[in-house]
Amino acid sequence: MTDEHPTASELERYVIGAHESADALRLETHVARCATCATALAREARIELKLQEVARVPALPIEDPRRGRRVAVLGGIAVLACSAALVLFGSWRAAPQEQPDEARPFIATHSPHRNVEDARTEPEPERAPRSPSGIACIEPAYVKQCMRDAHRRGLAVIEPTIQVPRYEYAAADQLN
Amino acid sequence: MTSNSDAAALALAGDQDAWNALITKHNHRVVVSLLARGVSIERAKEIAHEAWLKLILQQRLGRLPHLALPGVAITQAGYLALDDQRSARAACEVPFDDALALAIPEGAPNAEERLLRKEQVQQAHAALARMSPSTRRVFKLIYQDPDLSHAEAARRSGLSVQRVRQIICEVRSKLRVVLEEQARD
Repeated sequence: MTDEHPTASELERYVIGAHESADALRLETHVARCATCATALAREARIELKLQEVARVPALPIEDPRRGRRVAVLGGIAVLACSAALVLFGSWRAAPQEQPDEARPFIATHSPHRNVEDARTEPEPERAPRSPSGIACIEPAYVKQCMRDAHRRGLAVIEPTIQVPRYEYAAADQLN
Repeated sequence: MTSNSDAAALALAGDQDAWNALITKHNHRVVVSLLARGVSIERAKEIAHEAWLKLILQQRLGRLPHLALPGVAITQAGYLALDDQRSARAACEVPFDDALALAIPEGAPNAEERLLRKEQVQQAHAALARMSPSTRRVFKLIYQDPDLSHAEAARRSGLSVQRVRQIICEVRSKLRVVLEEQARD
């Protein structure tokens, strides 16, 4: 009888303490002489210890893999909404400044504040010819969307003058 | 019938019957903890016996202020198993199957092992969350309180002992996939 290998269920019952004394003695006698069953019993015992560890640790919040995708989608929508709001705000700011269409100021022009004394004493610096109303589409990810909006609203798309350093350029230079 | 805390208090006072009752109740868990460390079953029973004797000796010497069982006995047995393994190495003896002997951890787990364990525990919690409330209740009763017998867990959960054991086996089979990866390592 002791030469028969115990079943997985019998090993499990032994480990959880659900065995009868006679069965336990028989199983122990066999396992003491059978390396295969000793290995299987050790595996069951390790699972038992792991279960105790699982029960000791309080339940942790489980990360939902779909949550990351949801955040990305919502983030994209938020960026698009902000871009659209900027375009609308820009066109609203630009519209009431000048009467003729061709004389509307460029919304992205740099206008440093100067006090009244300076304005009286210093000669008026030369001003660049006024651009027609337009918008600078500088966000690479939304250039097309921005240009579509600008054309739909009759705004000129101005080339951005500020060079934004980008990682790809730096990496390419290093490679060259 | 004395409660667990009463039995521990009596044992701490030197009551031999209380010690015998506690050993009968908790010895199997001590042996299983040694089996999980890769100790052979015969040696595991010997080491468990030795661990109990050491605890009784400590109590008699007045060096055992608390008796949290089976934890203190499992810890004591773990130290003895380590000593056993070291002396076997020193004598160039291999106690039994090499792979199992190597399973005895000599120190604290490293960062990678801790991370793996944490992930496993998280996965096990996720699997438990998908089980029925009664299954989760039985699991908590049995594994959160190592002092609780199957009969007591059955009484508290309003189930039969047979049903409680059946639930334990079901939980084990469901969590085996998650937990066995670590066990194989």
